[in-house]
Amino acid sequence: MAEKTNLDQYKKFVKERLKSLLDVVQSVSAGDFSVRLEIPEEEDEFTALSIELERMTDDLIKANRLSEERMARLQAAVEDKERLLKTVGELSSPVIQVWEDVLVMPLVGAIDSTRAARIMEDLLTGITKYQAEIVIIDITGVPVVDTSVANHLVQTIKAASLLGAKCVVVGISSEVAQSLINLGVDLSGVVTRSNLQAGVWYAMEMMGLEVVPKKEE
Amino acid sequence: MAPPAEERCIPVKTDLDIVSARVEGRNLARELGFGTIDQARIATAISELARNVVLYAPEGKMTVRAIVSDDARRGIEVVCEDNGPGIADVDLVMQDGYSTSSGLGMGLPGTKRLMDQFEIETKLGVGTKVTVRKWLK
Amino acid sequence: MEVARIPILQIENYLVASIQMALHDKAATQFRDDLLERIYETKARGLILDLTAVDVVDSFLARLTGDIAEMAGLMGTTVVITGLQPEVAITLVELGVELKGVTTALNLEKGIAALRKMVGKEGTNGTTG
Repeated sequence: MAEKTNLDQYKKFVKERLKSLLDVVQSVSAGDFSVRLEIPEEEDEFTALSIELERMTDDLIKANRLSEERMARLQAAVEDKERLLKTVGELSSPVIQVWEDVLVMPLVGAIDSTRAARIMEDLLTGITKYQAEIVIIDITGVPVVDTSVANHLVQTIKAASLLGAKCVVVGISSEVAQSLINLGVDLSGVVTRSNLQAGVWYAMEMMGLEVVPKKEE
Repeated sequence: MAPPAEERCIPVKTDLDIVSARVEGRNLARELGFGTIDQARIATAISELARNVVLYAPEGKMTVRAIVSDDARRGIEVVCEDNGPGIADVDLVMQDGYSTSSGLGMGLPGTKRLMDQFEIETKLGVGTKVTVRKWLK
Repeated sequence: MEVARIPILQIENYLVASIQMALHDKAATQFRDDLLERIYETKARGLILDLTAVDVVDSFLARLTGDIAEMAGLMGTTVVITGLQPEVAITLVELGVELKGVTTALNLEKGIAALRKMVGKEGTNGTTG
């Protein structure tokens, strides 16, 4: 009789302990680390398992936090990069007034469609702002001038002329010149000069200006 | 029941309607957050499409509405339908040379360049429907 | 229906017309006719078309402008278009429309300076500015 009662009690004890262990395991696997095991003072068959389970949960919590920190760092890095790109974008097509009515737009770096549209906008804004009549577009720093870039350039020049501004393109290297000819790009009507200096001379000529040495008294 | 504020329908029959259509379109574009240049592109595209209706069809209608893409980008859609004769050779009218030589109307290649998406359905003797869309960046 | 007419002003020996409103086709054609008539009446050597207030130029308006320039040219008048807005310029270029034979200037002041240079001898002593 006593044995049977002991067996029932034992079954109940096992059932209870297993349930509490199961609750914790289920919570943890669902991502909820708030439910923790109560480890009774008296050691029993489940104590070792309970301790290990708790240890495992602690490790999981730690790993989770590490992962979140890494994500936050990555996010910050991405935001930094976006800020940097934005700054580069703003710097990438500056419009500089070098003389009354004369602007210079030095382009550096690769030009894709988005950048090309930006360049066109910035140029037209610059022409309006400085009331420019001549724009020197310097493409020395543009590594690749393919059909797409050339077409964007032609469109920009056409739009600028609708605002009453003449454009001169400088900085076309011999390689770029060759590839443009090979690509069959129609650059007729586009005024070009070899470098910025030549471009400035052209602008001066168009404005009816000349630079003369000072008279020595 | 009034249509949602983000959809506007303009009947197109006379040259006055061309102006109405592009004013409505430009207003919606501005409300949706498109910049000045894109507003001009959208208004010009609407003007071209409306003009085709006035020139080649008894009448038509233009619907401009706000749209959202599958990847949650917002944009504007313009649908221009008419009950005109339809277009016999779509490929021909979509060639640049064709539109500039005829001068007036049929500015379809240009319209396509101004917008991000361009679709055309036409049936001889029934009419033409052009759908164009532009997305916010 | 009486169409509101666009005022055409005279400055020196030049005519200046500023388009202030959205032109529908009939008004635009009326405008062209008015212009040509004024040119004939005044024998103006130059015409400035100011488009500062125009926010959309479609292929029709572009063609009309080209027509005005051509017809005025036949009458001996030089045409300068001023005030094209950047977004309109971009749209025109993307539309693929060329404004042939038309001189453009940023604003009225530069337009008149350009006319003086091109038309020159009349009324000035040939100096610029």
